[in-house]
Amino acid sequence: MPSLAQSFVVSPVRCDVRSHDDCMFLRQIDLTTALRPSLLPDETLLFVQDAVGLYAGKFKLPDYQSGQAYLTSHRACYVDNEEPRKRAVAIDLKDVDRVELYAGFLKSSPKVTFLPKASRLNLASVRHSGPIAASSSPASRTGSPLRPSFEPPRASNATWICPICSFSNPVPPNFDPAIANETTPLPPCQACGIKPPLVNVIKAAIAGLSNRPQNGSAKANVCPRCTFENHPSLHTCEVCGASLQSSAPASSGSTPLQSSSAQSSSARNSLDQRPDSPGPQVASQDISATLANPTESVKFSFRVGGEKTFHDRLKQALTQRKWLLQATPKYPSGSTEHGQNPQQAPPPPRGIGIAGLERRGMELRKNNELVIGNAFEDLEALMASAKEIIALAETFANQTRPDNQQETNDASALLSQLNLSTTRDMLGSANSTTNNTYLTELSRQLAEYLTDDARGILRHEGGIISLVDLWAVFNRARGGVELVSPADIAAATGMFDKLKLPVRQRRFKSGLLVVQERSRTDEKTVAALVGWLKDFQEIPPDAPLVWDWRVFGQGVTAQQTAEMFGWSIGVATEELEMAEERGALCREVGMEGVKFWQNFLSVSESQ
Amino acid sequence: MQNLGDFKLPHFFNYPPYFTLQPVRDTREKQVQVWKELIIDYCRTQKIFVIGLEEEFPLFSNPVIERSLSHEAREAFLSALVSEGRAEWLGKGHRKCLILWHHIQDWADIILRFVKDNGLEDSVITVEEMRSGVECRGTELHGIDRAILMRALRLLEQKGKLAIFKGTSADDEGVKFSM
Repeated sequence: MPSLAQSFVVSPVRCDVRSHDDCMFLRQIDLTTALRPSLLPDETLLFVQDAVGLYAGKFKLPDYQSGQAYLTSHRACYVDNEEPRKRAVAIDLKDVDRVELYAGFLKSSPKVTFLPKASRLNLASVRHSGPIAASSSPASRTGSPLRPSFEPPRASNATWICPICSFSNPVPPNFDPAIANETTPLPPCQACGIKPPLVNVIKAAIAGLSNRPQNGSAKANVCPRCTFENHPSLHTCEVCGASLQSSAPASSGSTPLQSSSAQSSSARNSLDQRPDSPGPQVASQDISATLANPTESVKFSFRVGGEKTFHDRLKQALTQRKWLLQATPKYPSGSTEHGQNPQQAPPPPRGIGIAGLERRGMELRKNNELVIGNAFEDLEALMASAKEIIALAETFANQTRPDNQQETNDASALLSQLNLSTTRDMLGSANSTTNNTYLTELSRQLAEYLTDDARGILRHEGGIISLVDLWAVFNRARGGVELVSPADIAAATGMFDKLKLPVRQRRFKSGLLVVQERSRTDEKTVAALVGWLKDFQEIPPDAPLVWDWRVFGQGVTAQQTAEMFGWSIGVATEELEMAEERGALCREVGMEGVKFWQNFLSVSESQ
Repeated sequence: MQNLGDFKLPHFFNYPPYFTLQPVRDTREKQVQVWKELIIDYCRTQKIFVIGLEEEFPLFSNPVIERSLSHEAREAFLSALVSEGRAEWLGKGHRKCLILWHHIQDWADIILRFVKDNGLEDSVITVEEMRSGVECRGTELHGIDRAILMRALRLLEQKGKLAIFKGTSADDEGVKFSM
């Protein structure tokens, strides 16, 4: 059994990449194919900014210094530029207590600080956390804020106050607040002999934990003016209000901060004068939350600006609290009864032809009727289904006024449902760097749109789509809001390669620009064409041919190729010509137009 | 394999793209190569010396597959022959082409061999006789184009092997060999 002294030792823990899960409320997130954070169903994207770095508390996170920040209604995400899949983290806004903006000074960039909610996090985690990994913490929380390198805390100098006689009793040494439950034996109060409720003892034990840094650091902070011994993490003296020197920083084994000197010079910002103790740090000045709070704040550092807009939108998002809407129940679909939990509606029977279309239209109308009826019957149900009602109303409005291009909040909400919400507005003022960000985001969005399996755009076009078609389809999907100019599409697709996205742009000999999957190369296309042509040698043709089809096969026109592979005619022509360039095909100009054959001319004439 | 008269046509003749001038450089080179050989072979066997571009040349079209060479294609192939030295354009403008499946020098050698074989040294023979006389039956000289023959003879005259002189009738010339 470790000695008491040993149990007091606070092992210094660096907030580096390994201990992410435990030391702060950042957590890994999933990315889409275009390396953007994949949004939850109700989440909307509010802002994007690149050239962002992450700080944990005061320390720079070594691998997280150049990336993009995505602000959504539920989270603030960071996606690294070099290793996007490995280093993508996010902070849930519901865990954020408040947010502060540091406007930057000399060499230090502007920063936005996220301060986690202390009390709820800790209490919940302490109560629920197992010895090491807090898998039992509620799903909505992040990992346990307690560092796994900590021994289960033993507060031997904690005291609990008896609720009857207010005598302060010591908490027993073997009392572990983490695993205490009803069966733990509790000693009665020494004065009045009444056993305390478990809650009090646990609270007291936790309170005792918060006193531990005192033992860990040098000594209590002595006020220079009135010599009162303050708690070491205070910044102003409790008695006279003088500002306290933070205790001398222990050797900072973490990455040296460029801006540390600049930061410490701005004494007004109390966050920057946090004591450099490697132990658990108190995130805010408010230590009336006496619970030990080993979590630290997280800072986003904006190297090229954008912090103002980020901060504004972040505050908006925090006040709106869209994550709470997740709890509202879905509106009942047409096939279930009113008030029941929505079941999965059975897929509508596939109708064919006009009858099917009519049937589908009727079902849609019935559903709408049901929804509207239910919503207006019950006002509460209306509040819950407010979002869906808005969406419905919007579609009706668009039908009746197709020329209405005014962008309302609802339109953008609808738009964001389709994940097509990259607009210039979202990215701050229009200067060259913002333009760049706009193009980058647009290209990512295009990549997502193309590889979206639900829509299957690329698949539908046979894996290759011309830029003109892409422009048309993309703008149509945007629904007439914030259309993208052809120049932007061309520039954005040009960046596919640079951003290592799964699609790429390709220029044909004649200048036609297309977009295709990265894995599709010319060789593969040529092989596919030749393979198809070879088939003609096997299968007897329908109409009798005047030449020996067994030897030569048949010629194909661009039209036939387009039908076969699902390409558009322009693309088919280009691909055939490309194969001809490589010598796999040769052309024949006849009465019926241009046909392409397998190239037998190149075969050596050893007849 | 088809036959054109008694000439065996190559495999390719039935390949429709064969009759289209290929745009791709490599393929076109192959195509030109094949055509050149075909033309030379055909002319040699059929003893055709002159090809007129506008005329119907049976080699240039294949009625079976209903394809034929365009004017541009014909010109391209014949030009290739000319640049190789196996043909010559007659007159200004590319209308007629003289096919030399033997070079002029070769023809000269053939004439010399003919003379030796038939013991015509130091004797006189008319040009017509050389072309269609009794002795030349069975040799390559039979039915030779007059222009080619004249050129070959002139070449030999320059070398001093023979002398050309005008004969009794105005339209014929005689040749005296002096080996």
